[in-house]
Amino acid sequence: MPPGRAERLGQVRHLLWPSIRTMRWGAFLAVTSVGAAAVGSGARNDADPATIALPVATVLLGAWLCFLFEDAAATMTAASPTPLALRRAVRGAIAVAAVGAVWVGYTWLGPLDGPTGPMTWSFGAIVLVALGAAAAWTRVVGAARAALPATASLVTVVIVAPVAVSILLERRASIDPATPPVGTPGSYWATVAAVAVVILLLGHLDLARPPIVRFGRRRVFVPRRGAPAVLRSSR
Amino acid sequence: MAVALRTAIGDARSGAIPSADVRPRAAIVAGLGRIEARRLVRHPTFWLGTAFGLTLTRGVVGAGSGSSGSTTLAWLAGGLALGMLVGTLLSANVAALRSRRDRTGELYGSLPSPPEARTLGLLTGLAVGPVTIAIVLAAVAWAVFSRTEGLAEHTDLFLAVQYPLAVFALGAIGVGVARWIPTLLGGPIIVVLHTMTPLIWLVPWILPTTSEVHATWHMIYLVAVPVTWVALALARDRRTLIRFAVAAAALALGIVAAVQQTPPGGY
Repeated sequence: MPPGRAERLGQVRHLLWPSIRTMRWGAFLAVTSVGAAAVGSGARNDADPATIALPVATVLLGAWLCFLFEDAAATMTAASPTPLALRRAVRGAIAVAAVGAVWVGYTWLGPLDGPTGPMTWSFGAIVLVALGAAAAWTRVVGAARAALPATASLVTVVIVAPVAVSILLERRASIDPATPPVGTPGSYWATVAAVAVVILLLGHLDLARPPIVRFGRRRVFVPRRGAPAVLRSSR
Repeated sequence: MAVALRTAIGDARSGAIPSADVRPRAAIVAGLGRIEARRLVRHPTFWLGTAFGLTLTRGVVGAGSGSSGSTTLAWLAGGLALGMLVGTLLSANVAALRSRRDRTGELYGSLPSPPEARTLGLLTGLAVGPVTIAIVLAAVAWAVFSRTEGLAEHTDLFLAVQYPLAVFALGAIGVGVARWIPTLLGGPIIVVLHTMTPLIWLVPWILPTTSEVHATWHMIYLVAVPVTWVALALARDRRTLIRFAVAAAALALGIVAAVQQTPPGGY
């Protein structure tokens, strides 16, 4: 019988402290400090930190998120009765809350006066791309080595691809969230976020659990007549 | 909890295989250096960093309309140089973290060579791989720039020598940071810290003579930085007084050089 809501909430409660304890808070502190220094010094010579410094600081926070699903004991915890998605949701919620709080702090540094629409859209997309890349690369290269390719994917999607697309379209290259290479900020970042969500969901298909959607008839092993006794007794 | 932690650390130390206490042999370091050089220059981080640097520079410069050929050439060389500097730092950082991420540190500890041999091997690989590529690039850039109007007056041996030294210095930073801060985030943090904060204007890596930088002090700075980080990386392998003393002396010299190299009116 599948566990009810109360059991799931109990699992979340039990997962909360171990998840907090096993996250890389030292690296988070370093990332936060360097990001704040970058945004603070982005206002040098009357420059606008929202155009380059803030996106780079946000990508650095995203890089920290790319390490979130690294787990040396993934093959052992895969057999746990708590679903992978729930375990990662707890971890992700804590991390995204921390990253969000720091990012909102960044948007008040120097001449900036709070998050604007494009900034918020891009932050949401960067978080989803980071989590999606981390989940997808965990599937491809294993849970112990996914962070590096995930970080490279994040930098490619958020910094290199907009510049490369702008060059191809002969437009002014920029990583400013307010001037995406194609479309409006809302439509561009929403598209990026939607693709990231699909990848994030696909990355959380739990191989150790029954599939959510089953295509075709379920195959049941039925030993043939005359098969060894050990197979017949296992029916 | 503190008692449990202390017990766990004590158990780990007593069960760990003691590292070999001999001097690293030159043949082993050279052999490891050849392997590490191949791995460093083949690593995607190295080439992607260079490609990203070129792409971003192309984006910053624009389509090139209205800019002269010499300006475009200077930006191209600058983008390639910047990309390779970042790629070297990141790939050296990843290479130095390999044994930790693969959890083979204890296994390597059982080898007859001391742990310093692996660190020196990685640094030799840095010199044989990325630094050699940097020397070739610097020589080509020097030859081309010397014949290009608008760039010839900024180009001399001083400019060409700085680039390989800066590549080695950043690679040594990557190795040293990986030894003391064993996370892959160390590399990106150093890159952002260096490029997005005033640090890059306080202690720039590559400057032409026409910037009026004090050449001798700048060269001392470019040598002091890798010496500091090499000593720190080796001090992580085995904590000896001499290694920390060398690191401290090189750091002090680097700070003095960074202050002394600044032109009278600033950069």
